[in-house]
Amino acid sequence: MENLNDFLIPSLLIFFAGLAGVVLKKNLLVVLMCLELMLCGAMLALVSFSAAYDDIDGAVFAFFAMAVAAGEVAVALAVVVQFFKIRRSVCADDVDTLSGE
Amino acid sequence: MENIVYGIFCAMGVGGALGLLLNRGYINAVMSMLVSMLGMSGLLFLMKAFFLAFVMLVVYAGAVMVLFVFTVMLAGESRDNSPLKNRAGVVLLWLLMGLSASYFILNCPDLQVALEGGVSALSVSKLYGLSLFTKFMLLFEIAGAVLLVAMVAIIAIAKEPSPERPKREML
Amino acid sequence: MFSSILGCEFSDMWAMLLAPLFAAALSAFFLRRSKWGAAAVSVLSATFALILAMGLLLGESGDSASKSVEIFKLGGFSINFGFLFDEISKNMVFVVCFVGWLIHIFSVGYMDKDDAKGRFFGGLSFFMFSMTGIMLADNLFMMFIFWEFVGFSSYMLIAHYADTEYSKMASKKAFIANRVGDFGFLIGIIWCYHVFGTTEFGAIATALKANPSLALTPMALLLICGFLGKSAQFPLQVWLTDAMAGPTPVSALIHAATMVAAGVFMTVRLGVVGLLTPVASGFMVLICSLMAMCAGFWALGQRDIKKTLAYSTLAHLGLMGVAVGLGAYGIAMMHLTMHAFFKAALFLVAGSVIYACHHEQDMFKMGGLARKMPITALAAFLATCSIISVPFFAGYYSKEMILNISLLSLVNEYVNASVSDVSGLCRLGALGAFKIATFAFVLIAALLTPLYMARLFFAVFLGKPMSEKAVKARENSLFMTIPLVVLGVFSLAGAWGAVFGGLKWLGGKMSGLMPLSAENFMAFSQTGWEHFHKMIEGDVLFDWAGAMLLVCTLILILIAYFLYGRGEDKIESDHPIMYHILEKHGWFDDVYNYYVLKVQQRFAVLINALDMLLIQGFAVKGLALISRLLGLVIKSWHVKWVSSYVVWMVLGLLAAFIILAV
Repeated sequence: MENLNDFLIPSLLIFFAGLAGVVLKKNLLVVLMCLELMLCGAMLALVSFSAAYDDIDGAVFAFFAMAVAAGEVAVALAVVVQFFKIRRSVCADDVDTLSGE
Repeated sequence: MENIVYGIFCAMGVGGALGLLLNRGYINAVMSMLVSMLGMSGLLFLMKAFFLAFVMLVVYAGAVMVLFVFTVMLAGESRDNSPLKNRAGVVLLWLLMGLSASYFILNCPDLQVALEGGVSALSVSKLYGLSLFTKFMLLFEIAGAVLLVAMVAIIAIAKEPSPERPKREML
Repeated sequence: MFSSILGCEFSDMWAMLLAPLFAAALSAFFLRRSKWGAAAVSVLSATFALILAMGLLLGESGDSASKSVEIFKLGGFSINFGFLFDEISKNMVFVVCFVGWLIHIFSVGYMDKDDAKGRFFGGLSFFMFSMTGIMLADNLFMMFIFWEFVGFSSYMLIAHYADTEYSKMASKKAFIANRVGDFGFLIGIIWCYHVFGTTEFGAIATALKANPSLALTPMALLLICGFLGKSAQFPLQVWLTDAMAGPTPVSALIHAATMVAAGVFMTVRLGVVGLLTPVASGFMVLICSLMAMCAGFWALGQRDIKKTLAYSTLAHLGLMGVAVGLGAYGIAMMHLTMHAFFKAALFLVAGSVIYACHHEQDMFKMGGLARKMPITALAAFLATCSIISVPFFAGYYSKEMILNISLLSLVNEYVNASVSDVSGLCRLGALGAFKIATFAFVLIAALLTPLYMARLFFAVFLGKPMSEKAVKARENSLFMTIPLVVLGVFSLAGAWGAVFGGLKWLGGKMSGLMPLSAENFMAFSQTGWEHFHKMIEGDVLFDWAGAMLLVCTLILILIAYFLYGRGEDKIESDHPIMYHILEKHGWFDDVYNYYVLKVQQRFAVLINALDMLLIQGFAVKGLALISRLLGLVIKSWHVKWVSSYVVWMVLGLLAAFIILAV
């Protein structure tokens, strides 16, 4: 617990879990949650560095990220809800109106 | 003692993340994400970033996850019916990326920094306020504007179209 | 005239140049449908140009050259428009402006019943603009630009009766033949620019005075190509007769008096500057004398009055070319001037007669018109006497002088020759044979003129009317008769000022019927009439030759009366084979048609096939194919599923990260 590494590794693991979910999961809501996970992981890394170098700027950055993440989640969920109203499904494969020959 | 607490919080964080990836039922997945948030918040406590840890608990675990719960309950399916190999593939990808990154970090000399014990800049809440209102004033205002815009956007997106009102005769 | 007002010397010339252009633009844009608007504007602009020209000619003496205006610049090369108003230009300006003005007035009467007057007068004004540009040009590039403009106006005006196929074919033929000549001309100009670094006449003259060997024969020959195209000499003479498809005023102005004379004007300029080498001049003499003779023969095979006059023009252009080739530039300009007078008169007579006979153009269907159209007949008589070179008429002096100088050059060749050895003798023999041959051609051409011109006069004006239309002919309106009479008078007395020196009036500015400054070059310059006249004065040989020529002329007129004066062409009826040979005018048209149809057309089709295959097939469609394939490939990356987009995004970020880190 004395090292920067101790906090970086969990943050990385969480981040990559989120990344794997965003890439490979099919349910839109799960994808969004994994996106949030990525953001969390990034925030954790930011704060770890900030703690390591005794500089508050990283933490403030993380604070802002949190604020914006909250807003972003709200908007994304509004969009997903509208999509669900139209298509009756939240599967990512059903978002295909723009494609096609 | 601290190491054990650290270990628990780590397990909560990573385990919750894995649970999000692996769980069949969607509400279960949301709950594991909640657990992950709690673990991350705990890790923040251990770094002595108390203010941030609280904010994380309140905003993320409190507001954002609740939103997710509501939306998941609104949206159709309750279970993820994809075959095992898909879910296993996700974990495999995670393992691959995570292990290589960890290896890289453990062996990178620049990152071998020791954390200070005792009071650091992070633990004093007053400093956050000072930073926010002096050095990061512009960002603060912009963040406020972003949230305002997000609010308006959500209302605009999620609104029902207003019903046609009968037009009144103009004179 | 404006110089006192505006204070600059050459603004008169700019006004003279641009007024007809302005009139043409006005007619083209606004006055197409107007009944008399276009005619009025055009005649006004011609009058304005004439007044300006007379002002310039009667004004200060001496040459005036002006500062050039740079029109176009590309690196070190620039095209300038400047004016060179020396003696030669003054001569030409008088001829073109005066004759052009008279023909404008004639056209008002002739085109009275035409529907497309606006187009016609617009074209006529545009022609005056282009011709003025050629005359005043001070460098070869500017002259070439206006040369092309003149060719274009000729094309436009020949095709005036646009509903007949013949006129469309004729105008295309005229333009293409001109273009072929202009191609050689342009290469010559570029070569000239390459050798001298400039195409300005003054600068070239200075350079050649310092170093005469700079003038190269191939360059001169290429420049002469322009003359061959514009003045319709061999091998490009095929367009002039078909150009008669245009209205008669067009034939009079463009194809008799002025445009075809532009070729002669250009060669006179080149000769005065010094660009014509002896070989090139000799070539010119040969071609032009040959043409003069052949055209005389071919004129005997035509029934159409305008085509006869066209061949006559060809012959006289040949004579002018002979004069230029022999170095007698003043005589060439003199014959150009006199020819303009009598040929324009003859064409206007033809127009008047055609109009009176309701567009009947066959001479042998007319007849007896002297009684019905006396004024026209009088003008025709004066002009015919002039062209046949009856003494004291204008044409006599210039044409006789051309014959005299060719005889002179022949005599000089033998008299002044000094034979040192066999090679000298061979050279003398060859050169002598050449001179004898060209003199013979010129002589025959001169002797044929009375024959075909008398044929024309007898058939049209004397005898009995040969058709209904001729019976109903009446004298035409004043618009048409007055220019005729004026030109007839000029054909009679035009040369008197140059030849009899004492006829000066208006304070010495006018001499005879022409301004003195216009007469200077042709009469009193170093290559002018006075100079040559002094050389042969009193020489028994020349007096005797002149008398013989006169006798032959009278005999030939009598022969013409017997052959043609009785109302039909006896040669056509009694000797059809000979007539047919004459009519075919050298089979040039047939040869060219064959070449274009069989040889050139097949070559063009072959090249077209190559183009379709290589350029359109491979290059254009091939490129399109490549683009389409590329598009297909990229399109396949745009898969439906959102997750794949995420994959691409992540991979892209990764790649960016790696690149930046590395």
